[in-house]
Amino acid sequence: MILNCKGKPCPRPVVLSIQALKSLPKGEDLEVIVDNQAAVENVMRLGLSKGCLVTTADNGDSTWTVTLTQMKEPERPSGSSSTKKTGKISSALEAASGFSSPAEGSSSPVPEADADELSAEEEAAAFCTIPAAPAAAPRVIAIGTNEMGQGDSRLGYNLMKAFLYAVSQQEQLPDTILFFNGGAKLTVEGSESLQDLKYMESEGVEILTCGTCLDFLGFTERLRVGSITNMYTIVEKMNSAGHLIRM
Amino acid sequence: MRAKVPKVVASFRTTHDALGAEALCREAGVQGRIIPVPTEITAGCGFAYMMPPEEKELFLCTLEGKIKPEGLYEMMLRG
Repeated sequence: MILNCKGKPCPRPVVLSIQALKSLPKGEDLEVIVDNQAAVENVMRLGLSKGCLVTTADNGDSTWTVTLTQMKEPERPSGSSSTKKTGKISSALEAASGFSSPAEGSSSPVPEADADELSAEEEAAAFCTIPAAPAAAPRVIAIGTNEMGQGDSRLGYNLMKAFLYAVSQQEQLPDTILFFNGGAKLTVEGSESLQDLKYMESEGVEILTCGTCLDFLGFTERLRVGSITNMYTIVEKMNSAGHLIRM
Repeated sequence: MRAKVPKVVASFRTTHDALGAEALCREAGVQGRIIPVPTEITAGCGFAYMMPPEEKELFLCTLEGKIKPEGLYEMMLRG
Protein backbone atom coordinates (compact mmCIF):
# COMPACT_ATOMS: atom_id res chain seq x y z
CA MET A 1 0.00 0.00 0.00
CA ILE A 2 1.32 3.42 -0.92
CA LEU A 3 0.41 6.37 1.26
CA ASN A 4 1.15 9.75 -0.29
CA CYS A 5 1.74 12.29 2.48
CA LYS A 6 3.41 14.97 0.40
CA GLY A 7 2.42 18.44 1.55
CA LYS A 8 1.03 17.12 4.83
CA PRO A 9 2.65 18.58 7.94
CA CYS A 10 3.24 16.55 11.09
CA PRO A 11 1.46 14.84 12.69
CA ARG A 12 -0.70 13.97 9.64
CA PRO A 13 1.75 11.48 8.07
CA VAL A 14 1.91 9.58 11.38
CA VAL A 15 -1.87 9.73 11.91
CA LEU A 16 -2.50 8.45 8.39
CA SER A 17 0.17 5.76 8.78
CA ILE A 18 -1.40 4.52 12.01
CA GLN A 19 -4.77 4.29 10.27
CA ALA A 20 -3.26 2.61 7.20
CA LEU A 21 -1.42 0.06 9.33
CA LYS A 22 -4.71 -0.92 10.94
CA SER A 23 -6.26 -1.84 7.60
CA LEU A 24 -3.11 -3.11 5.90
CA PRO A 25 -3.52 -6.67 4.57
CA LYS A 26 -1.18 -9.19 6.15
CA GLY A 27 2.15 -9.45 4.41
CA GLU A 28 1.81 -6.16 2.56
CA ASP A 29 4.26 -3.31 3.02
CA LEU A 30 3.22 0.23 3.77
CA GLU A 31 5.14 2.78 1.72
CA VAL A 32 4.76 6.27 3.14
CA ILE A 33 5.91 9.11 0.88
CA VAL A 34 6.77 12.29 2.78
CA ASP A 35 8.45 15.56 1.88
CA ASN A 36 10.31 16.56 5.02
CA GLN A 37 12.91 15.07 7.30
CA ALA A 38 10.82 15.47 10.44
CA ALA A 39 8.08 13.31 8.91
CA VAL A 40 10.68 10.71 7.86
CA GLU A 41 11.90 10.40 11.44
CA ASN A 42 8.42 10.42 12.95
CA VAL A 43 7.12 7.70 10.63
CA MET A 44 10.30 5.67 11.23
CA ARG A 45 9.75 5.88 14.99
CA LEU A 46 6.17 4.77 14.54
CA GLY A 47 7.26 1.80 12.41
CA LEU A 48 9.87 0.69 14.90
CA SER A 49 7.42 0.92 17.78
CA LYS A 50 5.00 -1.27 15.82
CA GLY A 51 7.70 -3.89 15.36
CA CYS A 52 8.02 -3.24 11.63
CA LEU A 53 11.19 -3.50 9.59
CA VAL A 54 11.82 0.11 8.54
CA THR A 55 13.70 1.23 5.44
CA THR A 56 14.01 4.73 4.08
CA ALA A 57 14.81 5.78 0.52
CA ASP A 58 15.64 9.26 -0.72
CA ASN A 59 13.64 9.70 -3.91
CA GLY A 60 15.93 12.50 -5.07
CA ASP A 61 13.12 15.02 -5.55
CA SER A 62 12.95 16.24 -1.95
CA THR A 63 10.67 13.36 -1.05
CA TRP A 64 11.45 10.21 0.86
CA THR A 65 9.74 6.84 0.95
CA VAL A 66 9.61 5.19 4.34
CA THR A 67 8.73 1.52 3.96
CA LEU A 68 7.23 -0.30 6.92
CA THR A 69 7.40 -4.07 6.53
CA GLN A 70 5.21 -6.01 8.93
CA MET A 71 7.10 -8.71 10.78
CA LYS A 72 5.46 -12.01 11.63
CA GLU A 73 4.48 -11.90 15.26
CA PRO A 74 4.22 -15.00 17.39
CA GLU A 75 0.76 -15.71 18.79
CA ARG A 76 0.33 -13.94 22.07
CA PRO A 77 -1.83 -15.19 24.86
CA SER A 78 -4.91 -13.05 25.44
CA GLY A 79 -4.76 -10.70 28.40
CA SER A 80 -1.41 -9.18 27.51
CA SER A 81 -1.16 -5.43 27.32
CA SER A 82 -1.34 -5.48 23.53
CA THR A 83 -4.47 -7.60 23.34
CA LYS A 84 -6.76 -4.74 22.45
CA LYS A 85 -4.67 -3.46 19.55
CA THR A 86 -3.96 -6.95 18.23
CA GLY A 87 -7.63 -7.72 18.38
CA LYS A 88 -8.44 -4.65 16.37
CA ILE A 89 -5.87 -5.43 13.72
CA SER A 90 -7.04 -9.03 13.54
CA SER A 91 -10.61 -8.02 12.87
CA ALA A 92 -9.47 -5.58 10.22
CA LEU A 93 -7.41 -8.33 8.62
CA GLU A 94 -10.32 -10.72 8.70
CA ALA A 95 -12.46 -8.13 6.98
CA ALA A 96 -9.84 -7.52 4.32
CA SER A 97 -9.11 -11.17 3.68
CA GLY A 98 -12.69 -12.16 2.99
CA PHE A 99 -14.02 -13.47 6.30
CA SER A 100 -16.64 -10.81 5.82
CA SER A 101 -17.53 -8.96 2.64
CA PRO A 102 -15.56 -5.81 1.76
CA ALA A 103 -18.78 -3.80 1.90
CA GLU A 104 -19.38 -4.91 5.45
CA GLY A 105 -15.76 -4.39 6.33
CA SER A 106 -15.76 -0.79 5.20
CA SER A 107 -19.17 0.14 6.54
CA SER A 108 -18.16 0.93 10.07
CA PRO A 109 -20.42 3.56 11.62
CA VAL A 110 -19.25 7.16 11.47
CA PRO A 111 -18.84 7.69 15.22
CA GLU A 112 -16.45 4.76 15.33
CA ALA A 113 -14.41 6.25 12.50
CA ASP A 114 -14.19 9.53 14.41
CA ALA A 115 -13.06 7.69 17.48
CA ASP A 116 -10.38 5.93 15.42
CA GLU A 117 -9.20 9.22 14.03
CA LEU A 118 -9.01 10.73 17.51
CA SER A 119 -7.13 7.82 18.98
CA ALA A 120 -4.76 7.80 15.98
CA GLU A 121 -4.04 11.48 16.61
CA GLU A 122 -3.43 10.86 20.28
CA GLU A 123 -1.17 7.95 19.42
CA ALA A 124 0.63 10.00 16.76
CA ALA A 125 1.55 12.65 19.30
CA ALA A 126 3.93 10.17 20.92
CA PHE A 127 5.94 9.83 17.70
CA CYS A 128 5.98 13.42 16.61
CA THR A 129 8.56 15.97 17.38
CA ILE A 130 7.38 19.36 16.24
CA PRO A 131 10.62 20.95 15.04
CA ALA A 132 9.70 24.63 15.43
CA ALA A 133 8.60 24.79 19.06
CA PRO A 134 9.23 28.43 19.98
CA ALA A 135 10.83 27.69 23.32
CA ALA A 136 13.37 25.31 21.80
CA ALA A 137 14.01 27.16 18.58
CA PRO A 138 13.70 30.92 18.99
CA ARG A 139 13.02 32.99 15.90
CA VAL A 140 15.42 35.89 15.77
CA ILE A 141 15.66 38.81 13.35
CA ALA A 142 18.98 40.69 13.36
CA ILE A 143 18.79 44.15 11.81
CA GLY A 144 22.09 45.94 11.18
CA THR A 145 20.78 48.67 8.92
CA ASN A 146 17.85 51.01 8.60
CA GLU A 147 17.61 50.24 4.88
CA MET A 148 16.48 46.97 3.35
CA GLY A 149 18.88 45.81 0.66
CA GLN A 150 21.50 47.79 -1.16
CA GLY A 151 21.05 50.17 -4.04
CA ASP A 152 18.72 53.08 -3.60
CA SER A 153 18.76 54.60 -0.14
CA ARG A 154 15.26 56.07 -0.23
CA LEU A 155 13.80 52.83 -1.51
CA GLY A 156 15.73 50.83 1.07
CA TYR A 157 14.50 53.07 3.88
CA ASN A 158 10.87 52.59 2.85
CA LEU A 159 11.34 48.87 2.26
CA MET A 160 12.58 48.51 5.85
CA LYS A 161 9.48 50.30 7.16
CA ALA A 162 7.30 48.00 5.04
CA PHE A 163 9.30 44.96 6.21
CA LEU A 164 8.79 45.70 9.91
CA TYR A 165 5.10 46.39 9.30
CA ALA A 166 4.76 43.06 7.48
CA VAL A 167 6.61 41.25 10.31
CA SER A 168 4.14 42.77 12.81
CA GLN A 169 1.24 41.42 10.74
CA GLN A 170 2.38 37.79 10.86
CA GLU A 171 0.47 35.31 12.96
CA GLN A 172 3.71 34.01 14.39
CA LEU A 173 5.81 36.89 15.61
CA PRO A 174 9.58 36.53 16.14
CA ASP A 175 10.87 35.92 19.65
CA THR A 176 13.61 38.52 19.45
CA ILE A 177 14.57 41.40 17.16
CA LEU A 178 18.14 42.66 17.48
CA PHE A 179 19.12 46.14 16.26
CA PHE A 180 22.67 47.29 15.73
CA ASN A 181 24.68 49.85 13.74
CA GLY A 182 22.26 51.61 11.34
CA GLY A 183 19.48 49.36 12.63
CA ALA A 184 19.62 51.23 15.93
CA LYS A 185 18.01 54.20 14.17
CA LEU A 186 14.80 52.17 13.98
CA THR A 187 14.22 51.94 17.73
CA VAL A 188 14.82 55.58 18.63
CA GLU A 189 12.71 58.73 18.65
CA GLY A 190 11.66 59.77 15.17
CA SER A 191 11.69 56.23 13.77
CA GLU A 192 8.66 55.55 11.62
CA SER A 193 8.66 51.91 12.74
CA LEU A 194 8.11 52.65 16.44
CA GLN A 195 4.39 51.89 16.21
CA ASP A 196 5.03 48.41 14.79
CA LEU A 197 7.88 47.69 17.20
CA LYS A 198 5.88 48.83 20.24
CA TYR A 199 3.01 46.62 19.17
CA MET A 200 5.31 43.62 18.82
CA GLU A 201 6.88 44.36 22.20
CA SER A 202 3.40 44.41 23.74
CA GLU A 203 2.86 40.94 22.25
CA GLY A 204 5.98 39.62 23.98
CA VAL A 205 8.61 40.14 21.29
CA GLU A 206 11.97 41.01 22.81
CA ILE A 207 13.34 44.19 21.21
CA LEU A 208 17.04 44.68 21.89
CA THR A 209 19.26 47.50 20.65
CA CYS A 210 23.06 47.51 20.77
CA GLY A 211 24.19 49.93 23.51
CA THR A 212 27.55 50.63 21.88
CA CYS A 213 25.74 51.66 18.72
CA LEU A 214 23.31 53.96 20.54
CA ASP A 215 26.23 55.57 22.36
CA PHE A 216 28.28 55.98 19.18
CA LEU A 217 25.34 57.53 17.32
CA GLY A 218 24.42 59.77 20.28
CA PHE A 219 21.00 58.08 20.56
CA THR A 220 21.22 56.58 24.06
CA GLU A 221 18.70 59.01 25.53
CA ARG A 222 16.38 58.64 22.57
CA LEU A 223 15.65 54.91 22.73
CA ARG A 224 11.85 54.55 22.61
CA VAL A 225 11.18 50.82 22.43
CA GLY A 226 12.71 47.72 23.98
CA SER A 227 15.91 47.76 25.94
CA ILE A 228 19.66 48.19 25.56
CA THR A 229 21.83 45.13 25.11
CA ASN A 230 25.47 44.24 24.60
CA MET A 231 27.51 42.14 22.20
CA TYR A 232 27.49 39.05 24.44
CA THR A 233 23.71 38.95 24.46
CA ILE A 234 23.59 39.61 20.71
CA VAL A 235 25.93 36.65 20.11
CA GLU A 236 23.99 34.47 22.55
CA LYS A 237 20.66 35.28 20.87
CA MET A 238 22.09 34.54 17.43
CA ASN A 239 23.74 31.32 18.64
CA SER A 240 20.56 29.96 20.20
CA ALA A 241 18.29 30.95 17.33
CA GLY A 242 16.36 28.24 15.55
CA HIS A 243 15.58 30.67 12.75
CA LEU A 244 17.81 33.66 12.16
CA ILE A 245 16.87 36.32 9.64
CA ARG A 246 19.70 38.74 8.99
CA MET A 247 18.87 42.10 7.46
CA MET B 1 -2.83 39.55 17.62
CA ARG B 2 -3.75 43.13 16.75
CA ALA B 3 -7.46 43.47 15.93
CA LYS B 4 -8.54 44.24 12.39
CA VAL B 5 -10.08 47.67 11.94
CA PRO B 6 -11.55 49.47 8.91
CA LYS B 7 -8.90 51.18 6.79
CA VAL B 8 -8.70 52.93 3.48
CA VAL B 9 -5.82 51.80 1.32
CA ALA B 10 -4.66 53.70 -1.75
CA SER B 11 -2.66 51.97 -4.44
CA PHE B 12 -0.53 53.79 -7.00
CA ARG B 13 0.69 53.26 -10.51
CA THR B 14 4.35 53.41 -9.48
CA THR B 15 6.47 53.13 -6.34
CA HIS B 16 7.59 56.72 -6.94
CA ASP B 17 3.97 57.87 -6.84
CA ALA B 18 3.43 56.01 -3.55
CA LEU B 19 6.48 57.59 -1.93
CA GLY B 20 5.61 60.99 -3.39
CA ALA B 21 2.11 60.71 -1.97
CA GLU B 22 3.52 59.82 1.43
CA ALA B 23 5.71 62.93 1.38
CA LEU B 24 2.78 65.18 0.45
CA CYS B 25 0.58 63.59 3.10
CA ARG B 26 3.25 64.05 5.72
CA GLU B 27 3.39 67.79 4.94
CA ALA B 28 -0.38 68.05 5.04
CA GLY B 29 -0.64 66.13 8.31
CA VAL B 30 -2.60 63.17 6.95
CA GLN B 31 -2.59 60.41 9.57
CA GLY B 32 -1.53 57.54 7.34
CA ARG B 33 1.45 55.43 6.46
CA ILE B 34 3.20 53.45 3.77
CA ILE B 35 2.61 49.69 3.88
CA PRO B 36 3.38 46.86 1.47
CA VAL B 37 0.44 46.51 -0.93
CA PRO B 38 -1.94 44.04 0.77
CA THR B 39 -2.18 40.74 -1.08
CA GLU B 40 -5.98 41.21 -1.23
CA ILE B 41 -5.32 44.05 -3.71
CA THR B 42 -2.57 42.45 -5.76
CA ALA B 43 -0.12 39.61 -5.44
CA GLY B 44 2.54 41.91 -6.86
CA CYS B 45 5.13 43.85 -4.88
CA GLY B 46 4.62 47.51 -4.16
CA PHE B 47 3.81 50.22 -1.67
CA ALA B 48 0.37 51.43 -0.72
CA TYR B 49 -0.77 54.23 1.58
CA MET B 50 -2.97 53.15 4.48
CA MET B 51 -5.12 55.55 6.49
CA PRO B 52 -8.12 55.57 8.82
CA PRO B 53 -11.39 56.11 6.86
CA GLU B 54 -11.82 59.63 8.30
CA GLU B 55 -8.56 60.74 6.65
CA LYS B 56 -9.71 59.85 3.15
CA GLU B 57 -11.03 63.32 2.20
CA LEU B 58 -7.90 65.13 3.37
CA PHE B 59 -5.80 62.51 1.55
CA LEU B 60 -7.64 63.07 -1.73
CA CYS B 61 -7.49 66.87 -1.42
CA THR B 62 -3.78 66.71 -0.68
CA LEU B 63 -3.02 64.70 -3.80
CA GLU B 64 -5.44 66.45 -6.12
CA GLY B 65 -3.75 67.64 -9.30
CA LYS B 66 -0.43 66.16 -8.20
CA ILE B 67 -0.59 62.39 -7.86
CA LYS B 68 -3.52 60.24 -8.91
CA PRO B 69 -4.06 57.09 -6.85
CA GLU B 70 -4.63 54.03 -8.99
CA GLY B 71 -7.26 52.61 -6.65
CA LEU B 72 -8.90 53.22 -3.29
CA TYR B 73 -9.95 50.24 -1.22
CA GLU B 74 -11.87 49.94 2.01
CA MET B 75 -10.67 46.93 3.91
CA MET B 76 -10.16 45.45 7.35
CA LEU B 77 -6.52 45.55 8.38
CA ARG B 78 -4.55 45.25 11.58
CA GLY B 79 -3.18 48.41 13.18
